[in-house]
Amino acid sequence: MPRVFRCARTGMLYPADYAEEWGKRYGIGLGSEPISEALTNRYDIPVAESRDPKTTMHPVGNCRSQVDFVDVSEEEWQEKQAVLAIDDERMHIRAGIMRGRQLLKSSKMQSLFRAEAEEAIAIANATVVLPGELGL
Amino acid sequence: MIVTMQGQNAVAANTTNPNVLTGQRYERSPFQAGVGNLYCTGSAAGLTAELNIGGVSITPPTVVNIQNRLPVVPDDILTTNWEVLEGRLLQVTVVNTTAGALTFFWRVDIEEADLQVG
Repeated sequence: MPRVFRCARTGMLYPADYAEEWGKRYGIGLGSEPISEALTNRYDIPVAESRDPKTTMHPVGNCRSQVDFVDVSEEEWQEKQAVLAIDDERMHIRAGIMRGRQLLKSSKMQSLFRAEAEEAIAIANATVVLPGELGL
Repeated sequence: MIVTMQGQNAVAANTTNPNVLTGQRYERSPFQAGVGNLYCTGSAAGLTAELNIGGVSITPPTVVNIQNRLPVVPDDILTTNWEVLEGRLLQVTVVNTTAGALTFFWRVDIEEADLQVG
């Protein structure tokens, strides 16, 4: 049973050495205290349109919430393991994930990308959503 | 007298906003002589900001901290005590180097200064 750090806001999981390696492998630029480096969507800010429609989206930001040291099952660890900022410096992976969530939740994104949003909603409806994944 | 502007701008992925102060009341300095401070933060890693005044570079493109909130004075200062004359354009250029849209938070203070001639 892995012992990991869990983001109190998003439920994303970080490795057991998250606090020990803070400022080296994790949380670079986020200050001296270990906090969550998970991203959250800013739906209150209008969609930022770029030349590439695949990157047109609401802005995102670090959630900076508390992290708790918890025991989780191996399945949960595999399912909710966060993409680390150090492994995705230019945000190519994380931006795609966040944009996918925006297509499910933002009416503005759904109106801009109707076909893509319908496809995302169909996939989401066919998938079991855990309580911790709501409201991201 | 001190004038202040504060705001936030979404910066799309891999794009540049040439001036986040465009359209602001004190985009051009209102004082015959002024001394200013620029504070800024970003929502996540990957933003750079630079300040030009009247076409003169005050800072090169500089990495912005990632506090993800409006700037706190004085913690989030980028550059301080720069001089600006009346009517000169303040230009804060922001570049997003990531594949995701980010938010840039900024605050500009300009304090009227005494101008001594001779």
